[in-house]
Amino acid sequence: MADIKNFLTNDHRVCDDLFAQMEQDASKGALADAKLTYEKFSDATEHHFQMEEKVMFPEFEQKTGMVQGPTQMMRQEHIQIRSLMKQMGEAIENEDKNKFFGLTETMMIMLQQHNMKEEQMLYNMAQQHLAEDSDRIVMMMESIVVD
Amino acid sequence: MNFTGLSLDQAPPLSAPARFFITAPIFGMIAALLMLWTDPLLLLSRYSIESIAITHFFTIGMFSIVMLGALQQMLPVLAGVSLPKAAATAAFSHIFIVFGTIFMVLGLWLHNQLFTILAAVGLGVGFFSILIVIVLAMKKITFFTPTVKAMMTAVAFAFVIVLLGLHLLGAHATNNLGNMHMALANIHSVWAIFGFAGILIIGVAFQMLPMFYVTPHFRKFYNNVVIPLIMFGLSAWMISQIYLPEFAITGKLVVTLFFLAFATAIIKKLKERRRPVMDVTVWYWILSAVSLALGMLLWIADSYLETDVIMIVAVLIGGGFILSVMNGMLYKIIPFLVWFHLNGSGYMNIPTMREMIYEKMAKIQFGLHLLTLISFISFFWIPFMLKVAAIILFFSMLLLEINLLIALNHYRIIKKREPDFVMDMNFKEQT
Repeated sequence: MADIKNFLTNDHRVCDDLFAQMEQDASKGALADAKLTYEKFSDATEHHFQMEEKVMFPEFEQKTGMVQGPTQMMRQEHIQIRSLMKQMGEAIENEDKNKFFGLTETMMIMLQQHNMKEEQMLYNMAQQHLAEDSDRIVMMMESIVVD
Repeated sequence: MNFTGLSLDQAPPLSAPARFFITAPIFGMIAALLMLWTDPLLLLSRYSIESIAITHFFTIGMFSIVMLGALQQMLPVLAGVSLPKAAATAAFSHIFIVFGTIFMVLGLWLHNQLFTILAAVGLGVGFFSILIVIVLAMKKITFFTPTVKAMMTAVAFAFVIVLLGLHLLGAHATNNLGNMHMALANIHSVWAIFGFAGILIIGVAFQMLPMFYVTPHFRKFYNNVVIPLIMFGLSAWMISQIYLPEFAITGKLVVTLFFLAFATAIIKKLKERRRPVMDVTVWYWILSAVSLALGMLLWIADSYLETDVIMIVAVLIGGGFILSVMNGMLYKIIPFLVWFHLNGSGYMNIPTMREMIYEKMAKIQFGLHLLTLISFISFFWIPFMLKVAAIILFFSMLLLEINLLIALNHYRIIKKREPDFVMDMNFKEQT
């Protein structure tokens, strides 16, 4: 049986790896060298967010009736992370290394504290409430089309 | 399972942790000034009233205050629970602890009974008000990670330490030091350093190192075993301290072994970190781990040496281990919180963390901190060095305060602007 918690947690690790790779590329030479990994990181993160926002969160809200609860807060944080990603892209375009690493510093903590809340709380709650439907939900998440 | 009370939207307002964080360096500066006016010989003895007073500027005025500030901030993120009435609780307990600490030093120093009693009231009310609120919040925790368990253990130790501390202070106030006074004072200090501060730092490191530097996670062994064994060691040490002092070394060895394992783990994890950054906060972690290892070894040696080297142990563990971690983490936490709260209320154009804490100034402050430690250790052989150490400490704390205030000032200034967006779900642009 598929496990929502494991599925989404593993996807966090994929994004973390891409983030670390991007920082390493950026620290070596010109920021332009990190453009490719930045795009990979940003696509993977957006994909992850949409899996949650389009599938898991609505399922969770429907099942638990908690509409203004944790999922809402996580959506807010997605907005914050998206704005940081956008600014990182701009810093790469402008070859502004100090700005870029200042942003990655913020991004790192923002992402990690966000992941922690999800992995240690929300995903556990989701797994408990949605266990019966977890096969279907994971399949739907795997098949989403990113806008 | 009951999830009531669990919401992820409970970051306390910035003022709650910030008031604690910016108080700490001020107490550091006052302690430094006080040392300038003290006879160095009095501070070489751990039992002199002057030593006890000044030590508490550090242990309460800096360490406890930073840890209480950090706990308020960490509970929502790491444990999913928030403190009820966070801002009011923080303001209330903060003011009592601050005045309690000041009256404690005045009372002891001047042998003034009224001040000492005021100190006991202030510290009792201040500590218990926030600790009880923390426990109330902790009762709602539904998922227990190793870090959460460590935080709960540390808070349990905090209750005992505060009670013991109040008892000891009461004894000073009434001039009635019982037979057990020294033994209880010993337990109070060892449990405070290793049980409260030490365990909290270990628990937080489980999360912070992977989080800030992308180090590998700690192995299950560390997560699950280290803290129970330290608790066992501290309890065994306490019991033997009272009943069988000749066996107290066994408990000490257990505690030392696991703190040494922790110090090694910090260095190893940092070496394996995946982020290419080598900023001042990494320096602080390394300094902290090295000081911890040296301090623990010397603590064991102290049981066998003819001379009392506990003063050097205190400098290494208090200044080298605890203060270094705190100092380094403040450089991460404060700029992040400023960004987080501004961004969360709709501001987009915010300085990055690197623009809030100037790396050069932070590095100079690190240098001063290192010099402070070296001078305090050399004071053990050269009494005159106390004054040098005190002067450097003063400037180190002053610069820390300036660095933190520069970061916080961004919040104050940017908050005066209109936000770029109204922060609701649809991310509407403000018209």
